[in-house]
Amino acid sequence: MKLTVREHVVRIVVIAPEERVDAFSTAALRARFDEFLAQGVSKFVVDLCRTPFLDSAGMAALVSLLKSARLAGGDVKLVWPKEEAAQRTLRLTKFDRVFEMSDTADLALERF
Amino acid sequence: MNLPDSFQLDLPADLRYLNVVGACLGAILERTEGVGDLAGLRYNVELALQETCTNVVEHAYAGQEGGRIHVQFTLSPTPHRLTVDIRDTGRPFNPDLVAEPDLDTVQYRGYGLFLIKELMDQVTYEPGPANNHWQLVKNF
Repeated sequence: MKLTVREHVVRIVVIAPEERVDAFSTAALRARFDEFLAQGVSKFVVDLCRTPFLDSAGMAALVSLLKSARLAGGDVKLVWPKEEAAQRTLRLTKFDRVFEMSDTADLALERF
Repeated sequence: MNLPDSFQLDLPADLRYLNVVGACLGAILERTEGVGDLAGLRYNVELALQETCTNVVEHAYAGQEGGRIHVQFTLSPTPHRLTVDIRDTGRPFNPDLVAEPDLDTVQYRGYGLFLIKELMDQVTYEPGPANNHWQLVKNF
């Protein structure tokens, strides 16, 4: 049978930092983001569930990723950190309004 | 604990080692009586200290090598209070010139000082010749 088949694959990268994300370690995180962006990835889930600490430098890296992803037609969704105090920081800075937040990476993926 | 207990750290002004401040804070709070939400208190104070020390490294000592940061933790029993004094010998700055972040617009920078003020109960900064002094106070 003559068929035309076209596969459409949507690539979404889930990144889950498992060490503290601070002014020192942020450079390494940004480098990983840049690698994926350079590969043409524009949809990301950043899973903060196991991230023990996130400072404003880390938050700036997330903003930078968001802007790049959106420019490329994609988006970045976040998974809430487990620690309540870390969640509060995201609420305090209204990051939970800038980013779509989910309780798990699977839920975040469903929202794309 | 009757008298205030104090602990001092002297560390290089290097982003690599700012985690030492948080580790020291955590160890102190673990052995402190009267702390209700230990994890929350530790996280909030550690974040405020991280932001303060990062500012010292990136601004007070911008372009300089060999700078040091002196951190003193003082625990007071009544009322339960943690006072953290952070001193540096770098360039002073004027916190009044730092604009509050516009939280309705996503931005890259500007959250550091905002977080410090939101997370601590009192924040003071006194620039001085070769001795800039931040004091952060948290009641618990």
